[in-house]
Amino acid sequence: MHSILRKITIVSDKPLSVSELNKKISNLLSSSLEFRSIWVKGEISNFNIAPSGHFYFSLKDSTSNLKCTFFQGRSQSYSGRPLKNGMEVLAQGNINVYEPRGEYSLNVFKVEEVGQGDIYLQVEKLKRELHAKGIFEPSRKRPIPKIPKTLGVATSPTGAAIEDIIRIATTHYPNINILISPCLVQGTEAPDSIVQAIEILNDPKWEVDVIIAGRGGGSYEDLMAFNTEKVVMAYYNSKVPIISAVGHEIDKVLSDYSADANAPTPTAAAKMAVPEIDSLLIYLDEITRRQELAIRHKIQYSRDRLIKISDKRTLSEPDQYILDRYQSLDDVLTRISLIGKSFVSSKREKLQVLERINFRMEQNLERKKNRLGIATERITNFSPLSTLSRGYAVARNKNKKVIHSYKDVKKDEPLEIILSQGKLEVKVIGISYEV
Amino acid sequence: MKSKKEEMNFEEAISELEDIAEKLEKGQISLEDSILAYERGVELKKICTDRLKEAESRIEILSKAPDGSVQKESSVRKSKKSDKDETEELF
Repeated sequence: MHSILRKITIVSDKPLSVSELNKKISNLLSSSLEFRSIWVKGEISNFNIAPSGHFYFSLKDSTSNLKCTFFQGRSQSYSGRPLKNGMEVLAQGNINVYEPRGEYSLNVFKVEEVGQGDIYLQVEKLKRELHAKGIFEPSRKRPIPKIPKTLGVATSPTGAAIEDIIRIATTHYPNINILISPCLVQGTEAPDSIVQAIEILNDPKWEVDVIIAGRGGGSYEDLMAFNTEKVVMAYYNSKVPIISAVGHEIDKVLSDYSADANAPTPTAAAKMAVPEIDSLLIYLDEITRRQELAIRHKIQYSRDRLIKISDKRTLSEPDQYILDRYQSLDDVLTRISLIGKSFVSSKREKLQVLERINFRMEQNLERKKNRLGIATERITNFSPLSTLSRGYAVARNKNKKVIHSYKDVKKDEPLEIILSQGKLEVKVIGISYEV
Repeated sequence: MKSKKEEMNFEEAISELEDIAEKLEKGQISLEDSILAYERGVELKKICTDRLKEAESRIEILSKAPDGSVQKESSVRKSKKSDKDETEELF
């Protein structure tokens, strides 16, 4: 036994140079299957990306470190979550010796996140599914009310998140009432707890106007509850507008997409949920200004109209106005009648002519009648018969000659005496020249 | 006895105020109605500013009773505008 050991010792008596040793080690490691395509589990630390695009990091466990290289070509095929310090990963690669420095490292060609890798992919898958169903559709999102009375908060009743929300909300808008619906925000029971908390706040009897549901920051695993389907759907189904407030650095959680709004921190969510009192005061002034302007316009407009009307004579001299109206009415009537008249006038004229003729004829007739009458009367007056009727008699001789004087007769001459009635045969008895 | 307008809260008041502004701007109401509306607007603005000044908020927490029903616990904290710089323990 002793001699074998001695032998070995003698064989390796000659000192190697450093390079030679490093080379030997390199050969040994690269030829041994034991150090090729090995999987190593550890936590990433000292992660950095060189300008060349190569990844350099260390994998560590509780006591040891291992340098790793992940060259650009290979690293591009990695499709998991972005690598960073603290991540627990499985890395597959070959042990490589960098001879000039006598260092060995793991030359990685594949990386998988431990456990999380699976979960991360699951979340991505769920995201795609829900997106396809339209759960993230912007158009269906409810608007956040501008001036809520009651703010509902679904979160852990202890911790910075609720404190921040209360502080910011009451500072910005001292009128706000806050109703807290406590729930678990991480762990396996968290999803059900969160769903229930949101449902409670949706009960109409609490009159909640807007909900903030979320938590403060944490690791990917801590926030996982907000990536579950039931929680995502609770946000989606909330009738009350809901803001997702999950503190995260890089990745959004799925509830951020299905909520009506999302904020990177609870503080930001509170600012989104309530109005700011200063803005409100400005807004009030603005509304008042609008009203003043509108009423002024209205009054001015009415005044203008009044002025226009009162300028017209209608109002300043109403009697004259009425007279004018009558006048124009008359004018109109006249014009109408003229039109009517000219239509009738030709007939009228004819009629008038006829009438005139008629009149003259009658006049003639009348005149003639008169003359006749007069003549008749004259005749009647001067006819011997009327004389006779007055008692006078007419004496005539046998020659029918009227006797006018005593000289026309002789004694015993026979005479004729015409009376108004009848005649007499007489003889002259006596003649005297005296009457 | 509070009259109805005194009971009106900020949110209702400002909502009515917005309606009045719109009505006046549309200009379709009579002059008399416009003036009445404007006066109401002045009233409402006062209510709004009063409410903002007297601001008082309630912070309450819900809890589950043994029988499963949900109820409010008595007010955890009442904060007035002047208290805004105070930081209080919640529980």
